[in-house]
Amino acid sequence: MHTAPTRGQRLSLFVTVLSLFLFGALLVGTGVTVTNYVHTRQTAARVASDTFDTTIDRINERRLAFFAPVFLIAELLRNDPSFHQSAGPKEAIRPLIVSALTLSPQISAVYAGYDNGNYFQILSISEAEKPFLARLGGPPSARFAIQEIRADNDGVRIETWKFLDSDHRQIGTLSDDRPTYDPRRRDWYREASAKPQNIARPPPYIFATTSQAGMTIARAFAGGAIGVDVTLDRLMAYVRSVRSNEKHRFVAFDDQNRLLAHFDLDQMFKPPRPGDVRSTELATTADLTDPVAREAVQLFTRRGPYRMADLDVGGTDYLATVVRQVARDGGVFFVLYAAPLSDFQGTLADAAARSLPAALLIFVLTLPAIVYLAHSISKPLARLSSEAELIRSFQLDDPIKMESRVREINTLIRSMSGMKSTIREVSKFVPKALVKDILESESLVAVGGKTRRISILFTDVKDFTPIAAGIPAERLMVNLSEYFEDLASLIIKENGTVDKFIGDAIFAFWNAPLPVERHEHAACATALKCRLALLRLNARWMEKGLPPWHTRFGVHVGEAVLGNVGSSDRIDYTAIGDTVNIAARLEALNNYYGTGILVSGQIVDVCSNQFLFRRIDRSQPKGAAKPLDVFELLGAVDGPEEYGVTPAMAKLVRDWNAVYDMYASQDWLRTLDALEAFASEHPEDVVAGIYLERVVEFLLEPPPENWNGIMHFSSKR
Amino acid sequence: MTLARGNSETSVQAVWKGLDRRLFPAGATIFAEGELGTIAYILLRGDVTIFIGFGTPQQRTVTKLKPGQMFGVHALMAGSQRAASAFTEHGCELLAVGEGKLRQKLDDADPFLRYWVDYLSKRIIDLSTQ
Repeated sequence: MHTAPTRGQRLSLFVTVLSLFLFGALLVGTGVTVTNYVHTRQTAARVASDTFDTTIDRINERRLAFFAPVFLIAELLRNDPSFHQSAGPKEAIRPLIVSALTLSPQISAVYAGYDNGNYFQILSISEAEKPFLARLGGPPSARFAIQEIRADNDGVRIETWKFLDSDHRQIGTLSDDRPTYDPRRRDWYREASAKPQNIARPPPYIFATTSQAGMTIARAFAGGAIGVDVTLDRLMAYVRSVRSNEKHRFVAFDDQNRLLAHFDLDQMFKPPRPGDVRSTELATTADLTDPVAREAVQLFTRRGPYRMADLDVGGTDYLATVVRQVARDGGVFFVLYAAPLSDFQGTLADAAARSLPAALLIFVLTLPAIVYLAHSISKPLARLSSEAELIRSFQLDDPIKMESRVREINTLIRSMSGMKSTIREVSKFVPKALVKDILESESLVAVGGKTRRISILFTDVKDFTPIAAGIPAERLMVNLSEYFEDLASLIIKENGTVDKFIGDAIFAFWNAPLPVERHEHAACATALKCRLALLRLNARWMEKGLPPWHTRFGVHVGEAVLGNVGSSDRIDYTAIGDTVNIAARLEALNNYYGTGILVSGQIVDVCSNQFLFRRIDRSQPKGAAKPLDVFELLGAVDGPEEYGVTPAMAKLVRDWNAVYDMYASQDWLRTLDALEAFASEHPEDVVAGIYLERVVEFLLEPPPENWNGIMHFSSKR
Repeated sequence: MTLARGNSETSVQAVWKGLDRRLFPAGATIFAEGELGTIAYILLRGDVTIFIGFGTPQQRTVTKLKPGQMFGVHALMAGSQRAASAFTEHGCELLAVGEGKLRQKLDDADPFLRYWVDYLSKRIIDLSTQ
């Protein structure tokens, strides 16, 4: 027998299906959230890329616009012959320069240096230049300062300062006859002179006059060079302003990694050395302290310019780009722009927080549908499961009446319904207890058997052959079916196993295949109930004018081989052995003794406390290996009125026991006396008649002295 | 013993119908020689002596019976007169077995035995009448 391994508590189908739906809904919600997040992230990357491009474009435009007047003034002055003359007057060109300085506040100074060391400069005075103006001693209201260094005929260099107010009127002058400044020693001059065809653009530096960060655009001409100073604070302020917020990073650097722009202007120069108030050395990308900018530059170092990259800096996602740019003068530089991803997209938690309420709302709204669906699947399956249990417990009477909206479940219902009716019909051909046992134990049916103590009941209809000959076959079949239905149903009800119907006989037993407690009692009780059922059946038949049937019963208990007999295709579950034969002989002995229910002494040994038996004989039927104590079952002690012991039965047994005791003493004359007395009380008793005849014979020819009282029978029936 | 016996004909009452217990006092003649005999007897208690020529000078004792012995069967079988007399000296109890009962026993017997009994009975009658 196969037994399923014991497992933990199983979930019900409804809970399982509902959980699956819930899990599915949660999975879909999570999937949608994640997909949405990923999609949003991709969108964010595109938006960031566009934003970066736009921002960089705007910065470039601003850069171009920022430097346009610078280059314009540089170009104008380079082409102005009056400006080329180191000692010539500059009055004619001065309004142009002042206007340019006024209109372009980023230009802090325009100047020219000459081969002879002369120098001419117009300085725009803004707040940044005020301290310088104060140190110089110029009037505080000066808007422009014009510096001129010129060597006189003796070669003595003289420096003069003129100060103009905002209306371009001269409001003061200064002179210094020993100027130290020599343009020819300045980088801008040397670079411009070295490449007269190009615009010289040295890297940003700290202006000596104002300590401001700036840069110089220089252009050489025959006999000198023009320089235009540009302060970077305005450009940097603009750069900072185009950023969406302070977390955005903007850095520009040239092909030598020198910084050209930084969102934090203070970072443009290396940290001051110990002792220095301020460093004037331009920082490089290696000096970057901002972790995001450093990370972006490191990526650039590894793989060059990139359009978009995800950076994880300190647990925060950043998007960054480093693009290559070409300056007006053909120089190459790079622009780095980085911003937190969260500026373009919320976090996954944000996305979940946004999505989950909607998902939950949808889930709650669809919950009734989910419950309905789970019910529509689980309910029929649960009922089918109950039906399966009913089949296992062999409750096959009621057909399966249910339907499902699910096609496969409907197929299952039809299949199980068919199986149930098939088992019900097939079980009519085999003992129901056997089918029940097979269903419950899940055991395989194979040829073989085992020895077991069983109680056996044999029934047979007296004089069935003439009865059968006297009525039409169809009527006989109906009567026989009615007879078997009444008796077999009683046997099954009493937990008996109807092994087979043999003509008009029934062969049944108890305690196999399923164990039955007090099976000897069950067999006796069933015999009595069958006798009663037959009385009622006969009453019905006689009302219809049909002849009554008289059934004889034989009951025995003992060891028998129980098992499956036959071939692999057709197997009968049955009991075989001497015990079965004895039960059959007992049934047959009824014919001789004129009795209804004969049982063996083995039955009486077990059941005498609950049933009344009458000793009949000690017999040895033909074919029996051992003699048999034969008793007649009369009724149930304290049983119901229909088959309980009556006073007449009790008296019969008492009177008969007196006869039998005498018989057992083998005093045949006194036995004759006793039989005579018994006959007066029980004149119709057949057993006593048999004994009377036997005693008369014993009077004539007594049995041997060592006779053991056993009567031997020479035929089976 | 063969089966197929039990029915109303074998009830104790029916069986008794062919049997009759009779008491005879001392000196009683149970049957006399020359009577028509239809009943056989089984001696249950007492004594019975079978005589030929009982009460005549030629009286001759055929046999003295003991309980459990049957007598009077000869006349029953042949359907003729008693060939001897049965007398009890001290009284006796007999079980009379009617002709029907005996006939039934014969009918139930093996045909060979039945023929043999009939043959012997006729031969005895023939010899005794010669």
